[in-house]
Amino acid sequence: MSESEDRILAARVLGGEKNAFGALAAKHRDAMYSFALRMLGDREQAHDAAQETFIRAYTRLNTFDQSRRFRSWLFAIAANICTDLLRRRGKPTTSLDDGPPIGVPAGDEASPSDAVEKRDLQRTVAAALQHLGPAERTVVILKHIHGFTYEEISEMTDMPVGTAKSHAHRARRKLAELLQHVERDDAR
Amino acid sequence: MNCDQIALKIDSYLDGVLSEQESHSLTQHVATCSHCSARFAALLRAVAVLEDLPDLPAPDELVPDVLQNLPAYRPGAIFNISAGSIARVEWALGLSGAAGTAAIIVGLAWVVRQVPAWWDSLGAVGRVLAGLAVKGAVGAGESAAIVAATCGEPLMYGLLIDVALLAGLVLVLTAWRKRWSPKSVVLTL
Repeated sequence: MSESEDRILAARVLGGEKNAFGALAAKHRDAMYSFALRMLGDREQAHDAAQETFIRAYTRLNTFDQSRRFRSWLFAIAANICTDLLRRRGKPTTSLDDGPPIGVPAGDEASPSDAVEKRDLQRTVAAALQHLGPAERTVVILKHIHGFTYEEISEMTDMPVGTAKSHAHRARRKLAELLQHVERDDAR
Repeated sequence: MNCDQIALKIDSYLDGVLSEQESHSLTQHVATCSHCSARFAALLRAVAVLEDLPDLPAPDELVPDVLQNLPAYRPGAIFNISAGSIARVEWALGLSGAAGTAAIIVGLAWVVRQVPAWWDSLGAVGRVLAGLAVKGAVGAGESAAIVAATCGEPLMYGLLIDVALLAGLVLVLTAWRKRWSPKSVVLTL
């Protein structure tokens, strides 16, 4: 479904068709849930944050600027909700070795070894995201997982473009250092 | 270029804003510097892993949960305010309406009670009907105000309060009539 179809659905919701919002939510639910899960590292909180994102979008739909992408607007709301939750929560509660993998797709038991290795890498990086600061995490996820530009991220998060870049650079370096560290451990 | 300068170039390269010439000097340095080479490779791998992470399937109940929890009012309504504020407005309107209704009915009953002829001529059914008429007028205004502000869901609470008030009023009037003799009241009107 295209961006213009998002706008049509949004217009129908504003016209009183509540069910059209169900179509909008169904279209964006996986993206919102994935973003929230990678931001928060907790499935239950991710579900709640994604739900809150859609409810807030519904109640503020009349403030949606039609010149913007609906997807960006939705991500801006989700980023705001997740950042607030992270700030309230304080320090990260998970370590790289804690519990089942968060933020990676479920694996196939019979996967070939390269797929297993790829999944391990994904698991390591997804877990490492939990150890970044809220702003670094937000920017790096929006930039490199969801493909937004720095300009879009700046608009979504109300931070200057230069600040968004700095956060992304710092986050990437931290993740790279962690990967190097893990690889050194594996090599021993 | 030294290694610190190369680190900045790597950032620009990963952001996709490095010119062809700068990219060339970057790769030349990386090819001859093991430290930068390892750092560059790790950064490329980190970005590649991030960009390869797919969307995860949301729980099936997410969208039904969202639809079930959407507020009753429409986005873009005249008073487009939060659910908490809506609830406060509803209760304020409902309670003030109920209080106003009670005051008017009790006031009317008191006036009627002061005039023995009016009181005696008003049978039990007439008293209930009079109460309903007053209640209806006030309740209609109250309901309209609630509908205008919130699109209507909390009317049920208002109606429940109204029914309770009406029942209480009938009880009070009945008890009042039994305890006081109309003849003991001085006609002052």
